[in-house]
Amino acid sequence: MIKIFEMFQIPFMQRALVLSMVTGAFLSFLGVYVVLRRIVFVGICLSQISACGFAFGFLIGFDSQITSFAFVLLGILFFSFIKRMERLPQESITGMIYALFAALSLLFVAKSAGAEASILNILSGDILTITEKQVYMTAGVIFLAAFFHYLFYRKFLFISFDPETAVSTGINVKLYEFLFYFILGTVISFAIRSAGVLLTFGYLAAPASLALLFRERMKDVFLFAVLTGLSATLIGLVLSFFWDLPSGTTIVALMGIAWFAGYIFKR
Amino acid sequence: MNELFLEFKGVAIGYGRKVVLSGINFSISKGDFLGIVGPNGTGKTTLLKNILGVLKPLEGEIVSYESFRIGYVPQVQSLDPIFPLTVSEIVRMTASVKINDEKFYAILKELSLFEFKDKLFRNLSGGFRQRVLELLVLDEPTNDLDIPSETSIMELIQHLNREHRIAIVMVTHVLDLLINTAYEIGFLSAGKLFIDSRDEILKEDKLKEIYGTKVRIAEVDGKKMVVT
Repeated sequence: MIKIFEMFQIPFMQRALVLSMVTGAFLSFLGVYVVLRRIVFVGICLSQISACGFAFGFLIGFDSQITSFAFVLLGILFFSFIKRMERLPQESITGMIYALFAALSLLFVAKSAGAEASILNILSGDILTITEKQVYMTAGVIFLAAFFHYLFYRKFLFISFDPETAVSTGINVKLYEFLFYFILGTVISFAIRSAGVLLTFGYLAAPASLALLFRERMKDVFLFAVLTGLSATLIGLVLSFFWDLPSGTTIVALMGIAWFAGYIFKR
Repeated sequence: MNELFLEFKGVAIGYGRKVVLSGINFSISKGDFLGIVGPNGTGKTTLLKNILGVLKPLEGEIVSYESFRIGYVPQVQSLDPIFPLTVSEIVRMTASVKINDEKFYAILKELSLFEFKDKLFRNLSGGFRQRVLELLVLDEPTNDLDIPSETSIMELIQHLNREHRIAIVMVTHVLDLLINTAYEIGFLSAGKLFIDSRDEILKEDKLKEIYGTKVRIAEVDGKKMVVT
């Protein structure tokens, strides 16, 4: 116990803890919408597009947070206005976009002389090397996003559950749909820097999937998902510190095991 | 004169450039009950989407005269049962658009349906959703229901129409559901919508013209039914 206390006396561990708790909690909250709307693969796709934007920034020597955000913005424009195609199912379009941006990320890394190691760190998540400025920026963005979700809770739920009725009652579904994706994409592009593609995706998919197995009321599902994300983050950070494991991967593995156990239990 | 809600004036509807129905002229006023019948794929849901304003007409004009409260009950299959929402949560969700909960609960109580309010939407047999409105648009509301549930839903719809004067537009592929309830019946056939009063539509020569085969209307215990 004392050792855990000592661990969080270290400045970089404090930053990692604060940032991963805030990011993990909010991504777990957003994950409920992502899972319910059946757009889990859009989640991983946006994470990969964001990571690709980072790599592109390094390649051209530009601020990679900005390029990452720009890439995600294009991604959300694509996903929020994507029309149903008769010839192709949506998941195959999402799959192709993912494959394309994963490949582009690696190509950009391969051509970024000297920066290869640092980009690879970012792509896989590097929560222990984040700066104080990044903590404040990411936390600021997430608090703003959470405020919008609080403000438009009913509307986001309504357009997710029954967009046709929402239109008929005068809600500007296209606008709120864009806002929903805009918040999702922005949060992902900030989370990627510290959490990486895998952990960001893990937060979007696992806590919500676990919560939906065990809770039957909307607000309980949100609460359960957030608590799952927070517990996995805390336990994962402690385990990764003492056993010298990569922190993001440890958190994802914990969430995955918890989900799998829950799934077996509930079957 | 009844309060006029909506008027279709020489409207053509469809998706993209594809016209599904054309030359549509009708109006909906307070207390109306318009039933629309037609086989699958004839444009029933497309017509409803135009009434709701989800789709814009390709030609003509749909005039909305009042800012009336409109409600839509989609086909049950179009709502995703993975959402853990209760009946009252769904009402509250839509309450942000001027829907009066109190009146809704009063009607639920009147119809002994109040007990459903805390039930999860996905656990309701067939999925039942209803709100207090001035115009209620229903897309195949009795699909997948057993006969007693179908009867009680049709009684509820009729009650809302007769007692609360809520205008109803209901789409179905079962004519039987409409011949005892709707005041006007519309048939969709060959890209056109033919609307007439129920009594006109139920004449044998008219039915033969629509169905292309001899169809009779029989009466059992005061209720009309279609016999082929």
